[in-house]
Amino acid sequence: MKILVVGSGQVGYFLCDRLSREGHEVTLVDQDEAVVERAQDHLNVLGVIGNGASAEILEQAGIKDADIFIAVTNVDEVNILACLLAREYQVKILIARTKNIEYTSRKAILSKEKLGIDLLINPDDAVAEELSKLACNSSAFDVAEFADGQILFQGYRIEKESPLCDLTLAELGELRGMYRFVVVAISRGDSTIIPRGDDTIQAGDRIYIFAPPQELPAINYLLQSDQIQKKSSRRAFILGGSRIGLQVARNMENLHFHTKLVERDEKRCYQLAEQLNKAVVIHAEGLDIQILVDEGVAGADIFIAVTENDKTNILTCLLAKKHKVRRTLALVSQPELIGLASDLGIDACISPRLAAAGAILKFVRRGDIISLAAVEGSNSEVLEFEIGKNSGLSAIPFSALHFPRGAIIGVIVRGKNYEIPTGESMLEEGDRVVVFALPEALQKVERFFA
Amino acid sequence: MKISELLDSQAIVADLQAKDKPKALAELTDSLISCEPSLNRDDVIAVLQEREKLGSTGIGDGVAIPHGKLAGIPELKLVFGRSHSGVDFESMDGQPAYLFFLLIAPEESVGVHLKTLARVSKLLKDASVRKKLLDAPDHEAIYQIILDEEGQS
Repeated sequence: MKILVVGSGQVGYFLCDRLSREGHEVTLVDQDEAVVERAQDHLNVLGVIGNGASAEILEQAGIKDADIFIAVTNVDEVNILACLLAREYQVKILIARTKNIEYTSRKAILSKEKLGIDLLINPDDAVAEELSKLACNSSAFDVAEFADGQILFQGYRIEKESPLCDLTLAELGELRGMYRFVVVAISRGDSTIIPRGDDTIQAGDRIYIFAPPQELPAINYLLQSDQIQKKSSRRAFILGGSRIGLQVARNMENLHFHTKLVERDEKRCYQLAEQLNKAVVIHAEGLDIQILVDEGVAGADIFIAVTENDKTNILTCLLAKKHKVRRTLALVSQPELIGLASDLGIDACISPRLAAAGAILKFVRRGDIISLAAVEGSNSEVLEFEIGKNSGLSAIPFSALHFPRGAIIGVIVRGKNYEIPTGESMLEEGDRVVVFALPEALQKVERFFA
Repeated sequence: MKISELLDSQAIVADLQAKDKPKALAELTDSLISCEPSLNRDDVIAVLQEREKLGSTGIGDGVAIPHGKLAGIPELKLVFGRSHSGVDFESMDGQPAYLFFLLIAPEESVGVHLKTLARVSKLLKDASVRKKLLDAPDHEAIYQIILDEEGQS
């Protein structure tokens, strides 16, 4: 498909990278000559220098043949205007990133329907949702749903106290009669592998599993990550009263956490207090750990740092860990810092860039691939495919399918049932499969199901 | 650790009388207590039932492996039970369970617990082993079968 991307900030660049590697014809429009040149040098994209909200520039970028138009500059108005222009050129799918325009609440004057834009994505909202989801899920991270919620993809950090330490994958497989999940990948340090039977789970690993949601209580029992949830009065600390912080605080309130929101700007504190019900707003600097200790951060259940400064977020999470907070989540924008932070023992690092880009990618590829999740830090992906008519894949045992290396079919969903495949399993028309793929296998996997 | 090293031959019930799940759990627990009188019967049953609430440990093919963690016990304990008439254990395949392994592990060392759980599952996956266990005349014969099977692997 021909895709036009306007704006090559972090989201735009990430999308250009992914979409071009998947074989799409990508054209990038940006005003900054240096940025366009960098993209042209490193990625397989065509660059056009100029204003993305100008018809002339868009025509130069070949908008007349474009199938998908994605406007992700830093300026909301440019993105919306660019999409409205693209609509005049009859581009089929329009996507805009907006940061400040209110369009989701009931009071919103503008909506995507009114604007005729297919997807409006706000990175702050996307990231706040993800943080809240993670906050209630003890040692899990990277949660995503597949097959209409019938299968969850979830990552777990393996602490040294974890009962899974030193267990082989074959041993875990033996437990499948009682604990129905499959480990599709293990990340250790900087590398991610798809494990075989004789691989062992070690302390410090991050494991990625597929499991149906109804099995989660048993799995949490197995992983001993259920203890935290039993406590009746759970305490949450949120650092940073931005839009993200406010949204996360609201969600934590709704989950019945005793919530404290820390913000350094006094005026903003008053605004926040007005918009929250039970949560307590505290006026303090994040790195002033003494105030947090006085407010009872020690032993809290969760600490979520979402200030605009990555380093502050990481450092305060470490301080919180030192004061025995059970779980810490940090907002980290700089991609280089994401991997580092998880090595430091922060439970999860979420980037607004990836949250937004992930949502856009998912939308763009809703054709064959039904849903998708990008795995932080490793560029691996989880994809869902439906087995169509004449796929040529039906009724062949898995062991004879020649499925690409570096990828694994974790689950087959058939109607309301699911199966964790073995060598003898066979696909049927209408089945949905959830696949984990390392970056080098992505294209092969897509071709396999094409 | 081998199953045969963890299982006391006296903790084998060759002829379970229970017909339903709560009674089967109680009967297996009684056998455990008779070998390990320091344990509290109610505590053991409570942790087993708590685990069952999350999903049945009846894994199908007539096999159930109830298990739980308990604080303050010195080491992992195993009990084997066999029912001739079958017990409704709310198994995945909807069939009654005939062969039971009960595991109680110290809360502090759950890793060993999982390794043992895996060994037990693997042992009972073998249809010929299940048949031998069902056909064995008494608890000593059952113990010998487990010993022999583990000796081979």
